[in-house]
Amino acid sequence: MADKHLSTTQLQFRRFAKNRLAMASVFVLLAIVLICFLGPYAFPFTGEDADFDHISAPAEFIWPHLFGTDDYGRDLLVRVLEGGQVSLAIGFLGALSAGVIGVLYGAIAGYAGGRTDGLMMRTVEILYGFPYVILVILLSLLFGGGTLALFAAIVFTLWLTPAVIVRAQAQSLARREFVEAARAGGMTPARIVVGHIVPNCVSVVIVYGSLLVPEVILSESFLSFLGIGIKEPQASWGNLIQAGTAAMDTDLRLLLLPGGFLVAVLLSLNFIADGLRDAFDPNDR
Amino acid sequence: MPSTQMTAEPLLSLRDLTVRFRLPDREVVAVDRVSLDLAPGEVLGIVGESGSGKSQILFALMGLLASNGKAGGQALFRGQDLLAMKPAELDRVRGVQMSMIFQDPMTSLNPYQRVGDQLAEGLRVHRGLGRSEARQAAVAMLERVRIPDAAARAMRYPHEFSGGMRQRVMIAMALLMKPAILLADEPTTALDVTIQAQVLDLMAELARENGTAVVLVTHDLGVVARLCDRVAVLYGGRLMEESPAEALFDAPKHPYSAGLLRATPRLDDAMTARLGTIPGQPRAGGMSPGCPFAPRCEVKLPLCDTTQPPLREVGPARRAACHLLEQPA
Amino acid sequence: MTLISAENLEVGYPVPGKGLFGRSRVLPIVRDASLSLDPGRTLGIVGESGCGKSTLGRGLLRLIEPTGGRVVWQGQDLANLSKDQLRKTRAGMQIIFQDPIAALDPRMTLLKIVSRPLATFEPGLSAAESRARALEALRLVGLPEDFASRYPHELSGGQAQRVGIARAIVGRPSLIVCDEPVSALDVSIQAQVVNLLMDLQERLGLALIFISHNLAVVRHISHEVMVMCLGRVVEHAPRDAFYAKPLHPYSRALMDAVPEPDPRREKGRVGTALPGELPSPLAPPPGCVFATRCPKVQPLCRTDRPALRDMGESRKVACHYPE
Repeated sequence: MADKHLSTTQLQFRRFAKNRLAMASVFVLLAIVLICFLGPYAFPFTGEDADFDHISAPAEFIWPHLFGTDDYGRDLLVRVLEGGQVSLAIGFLGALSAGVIGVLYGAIAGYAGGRTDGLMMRTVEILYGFPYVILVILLSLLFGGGTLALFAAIVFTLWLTPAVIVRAQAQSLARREFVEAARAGGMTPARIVVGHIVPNCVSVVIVYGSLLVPEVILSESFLSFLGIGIKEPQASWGNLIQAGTAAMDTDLRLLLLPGGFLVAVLLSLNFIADGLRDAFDPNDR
Repeated sequence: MPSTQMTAEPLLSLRDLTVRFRLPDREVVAVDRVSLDLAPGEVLGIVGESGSGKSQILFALMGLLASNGKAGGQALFRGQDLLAMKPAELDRVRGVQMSMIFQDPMTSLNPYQRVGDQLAEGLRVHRGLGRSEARQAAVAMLERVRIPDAAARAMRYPHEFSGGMRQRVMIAMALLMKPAILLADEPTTALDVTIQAQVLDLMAELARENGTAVVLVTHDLGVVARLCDRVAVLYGGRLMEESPAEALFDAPKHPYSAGLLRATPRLDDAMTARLGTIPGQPRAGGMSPGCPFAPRCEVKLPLCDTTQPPLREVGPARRAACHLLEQPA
Repeated sequence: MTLISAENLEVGYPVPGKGLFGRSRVLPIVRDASLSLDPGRTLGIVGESGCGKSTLGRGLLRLIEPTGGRVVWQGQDLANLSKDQLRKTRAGMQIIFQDPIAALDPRMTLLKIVSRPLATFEPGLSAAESRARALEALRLVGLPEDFASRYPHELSGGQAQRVGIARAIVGRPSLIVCDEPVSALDVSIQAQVVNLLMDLQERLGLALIFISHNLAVVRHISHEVMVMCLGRVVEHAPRDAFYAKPLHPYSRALMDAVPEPDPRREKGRVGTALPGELPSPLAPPPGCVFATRCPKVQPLCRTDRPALRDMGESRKVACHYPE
């Protein structure tokens, strides 16, 4: 008999911890987050301060402009770090919001079944049909433009897929005997959804959620790249990459630094998602 | 007095058969040095509960163990060790000289292939029959297992058959090559009781007709009583008792066999207030140095916890592994 | 006073309707089922797959809404209760399931699982009282206190079933519907659980509805037996009379088909199995449900469905030509 009784969650995280690639990715991601949020304090300037003495300086790894500056004399590294703050914040918060909305919606639809489920899912399907970029532009304008509007627009389009996934999971859970037992125990449907369905969907949500973050970041990057998203002088990885692409012929550095950070974050998140999926695999008790 | 050894060469001889599984943090011994013989045409029942290892014996013989499983010891079939065979050699035995039927017929039939084709495939591959010959033989076999309207049914897919009929199709596939041995892993457990009776009758009839030996793995003592000539009782991967069927049911020697019989509710006995029980839970073996049944045995001796009892003769053609049965020297 | 009774109950499953917003139809599984049970007694319901016994059990508890007939619980017609009132009634009537581990929420400790119903049925209890009641229930089913902090995946089938029973009795019910509770368990564990249910019946005065395909187990635990076939009740009798002499040909066939641990008897029975299969419960034949397989079938049986007739001595049979 085991001395300590581990919940399923604890067992799953133990399995995750044994996955070296996933754990390494966690550290890389944490490192990037820390650097982005704390790094700028190490420098005597912000990403918007123009240093007229050093315009378009190349990357010579000399303090303080380690990676050089851009056309306006703004330090590239600090701009990338500050841009990272915006992109990561939008990424994680956006994924969290889309996830929460999607989970609740999906759990209710899956558990309720019948007409309610039909109606809810038809709505999702209709929303799915809208062209993504147009929807984002419309919502952006509706919410008055700016970062908050962009955030709302992204979340509004991204909650759909978690909803569909969770609804499938909720449907199969609703048929399980312990849910029937809860009904026999007199629990109201609301209590059952919150107390039994949602907690058992968590593993599905976490795996999907970790893939949602890259999606949000990429969305933001893409939109900012198009010019719809975060606007100058505020930096984001998206608009930095856009500027970098424009200057690709002359100065690769402007593209590679923000691009490199973005790729590192996306790869880490993908490895973490893989690790989570393996850890939660129900076949491997 | 005739000796208790086989007078004829056994068809199948398991010698210290062992099956181990490698788990991330430890090794589990599912079958622990089991030795059994099977005579031609005999029906041997292997009885046990969960963790007894009974199904793993069959999987080991057919080379169907999971990737983390390893079989040790010997399994001599007509003198050749099945466990030492290369895959190509084993393929000549499997499905032809020795076939197997499983508990869940739905997963052993290809859902994308018509039933008649699945039957015919074996004949074409192993016997080299032509397409129409094989098809005719398949339909004849379906009729033999009493599938109504066999010619038409052969053109249907597995999902169009009921559970009982699918099981008959499996039996048809298994016996088509007239194998010397049929291995059956809980073949009727998933069937309704009246259908179970039909399938058991069918197995008995066909086995007798073709002289096929059967190894029947089950947890149901009633099924054993119906079909089996001899019974082996397994617990925790070890052989606890082996006996002719009637002798076992009349007078079980091992405390576990006795406990199982007491715990089985019957339609014909005098009603007692409570069913006889065996306390505790069944578990896999390899846990302790002593008898695997000791933790649950109500008549155990201190010796039982420390030393595994050896398998000894306890009667005509009967063996049991229990310290309580040791004859004084 | 009768604890629970059902009159001409019809229970079925919704089948999706056609089209985008089509109205769903109901496919009846159980038809015209009537029974009544007194406190502290056990009714065994037997039949093969598709006979509707599990559906009937759930219909009685209104876990599936019956589509016809009525259920009267402690004198009250359940159909007249509002959703809230029905929820409160559930404290008196509980259920245990066939798959013991699937019946437990994998993310909760055993203590939480067993005490959960109290939060609904007796919200006034303090946390300490609730815990004490849950521990008491676990003790009654033979699980010691240190099991309370375990999780379902650490349990064996038998232990999980005990937890299911503990959860069912914690609210002090008068009736427990047992849906094939031992079918998935090893023989030696089956015996433990059956004995436990009988002990609890004595101690707590529970009524049990024991649904099973295993005639031998049902014989042990039941006071009366009901046989179902393709959604209809074909025989209903007190236990001893039933097992001594079943009146319906299907009951007889079921009993004959059960293999007994008696080799001499069984070897003599080889070749006596009833041939044929029952038609699908979704398309029952006209006339008697057993007509296609009955060894005593007559022309009348194929056209006229026999009603459940009283044969005296509390026995009922639905057969034109009973024994």
